[in-house]
Amino acid sequence: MPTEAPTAAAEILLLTQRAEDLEVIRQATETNRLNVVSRCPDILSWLRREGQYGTAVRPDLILLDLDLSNQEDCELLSQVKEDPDFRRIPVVVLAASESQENIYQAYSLHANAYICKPPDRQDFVRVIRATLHFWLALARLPRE
Amino acid sequence: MAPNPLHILLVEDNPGDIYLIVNALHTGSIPKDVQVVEDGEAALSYLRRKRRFRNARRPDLVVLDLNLPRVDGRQVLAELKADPELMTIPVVILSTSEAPSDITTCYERHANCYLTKPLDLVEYLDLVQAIEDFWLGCAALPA
Repeated sequence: MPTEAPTAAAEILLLTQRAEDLEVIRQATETNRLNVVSRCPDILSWLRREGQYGTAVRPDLILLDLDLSNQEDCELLSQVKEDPDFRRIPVVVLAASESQENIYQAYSLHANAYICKPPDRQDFVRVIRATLHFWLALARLPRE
Repeated sequence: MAPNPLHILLVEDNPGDIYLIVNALHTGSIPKDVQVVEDGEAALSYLRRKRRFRNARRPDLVVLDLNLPRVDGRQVLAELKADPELMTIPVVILSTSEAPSDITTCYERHANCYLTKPLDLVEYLDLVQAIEDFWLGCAALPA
């Protein structure tokens, strides 16, 4: 069956500063492994295995809670997606903003998908579960 | 139905796949229209509104097979994602190829996701439904 879940647990790298979002995402992670950082520069350090992230594992999927009206957040997305070593790792942007400008910006910087976080918690749980199921159980992900 | 239902461009040359994908998309609950082109050259003409596609609507989502006549799907992907006018359109690769090199190359070329066609009919229909659920129901698409 071509769409079977990967046999090994997937590694997810999440950038978020919101404890309540983290709790929801952690619940939806199931048997996969969730690695969390809270600052933009830590995503790049993790991927490059710099400093305290010397033994970091390469993620299969990156979830970034971003505000793309913020320059630093745009730069992070663009740095990940321009780096020849990391750009093939799927990046899903989670954002509070529904602004078309931000959505357009995300896709032009090569985010793989943009998810607007629903304000209602139950809706947010449903969207996160659907997102992780689609990417980890259905989509084929690049190896290394 | 909304005045402007979401518009999907399906680039697929196999009649069996076209029949299955289009029917599965039409049974989904989200209003949409689906346009089919059967080779890579027609896909690029459609996206660029050339020749017989002068009045084509910009698709909200492209579902792209890889092994296509005239211009290969890999080439269509590369051209679409290098074109500033088109690059923001999400592209879902739906292929029989499970080759790791195809999967890697497509993500390198900024395919938004890569899916393989299941052999089992029910799984195939479920996968098309999952494309609809995620891309039309969950993700936000550029207008």
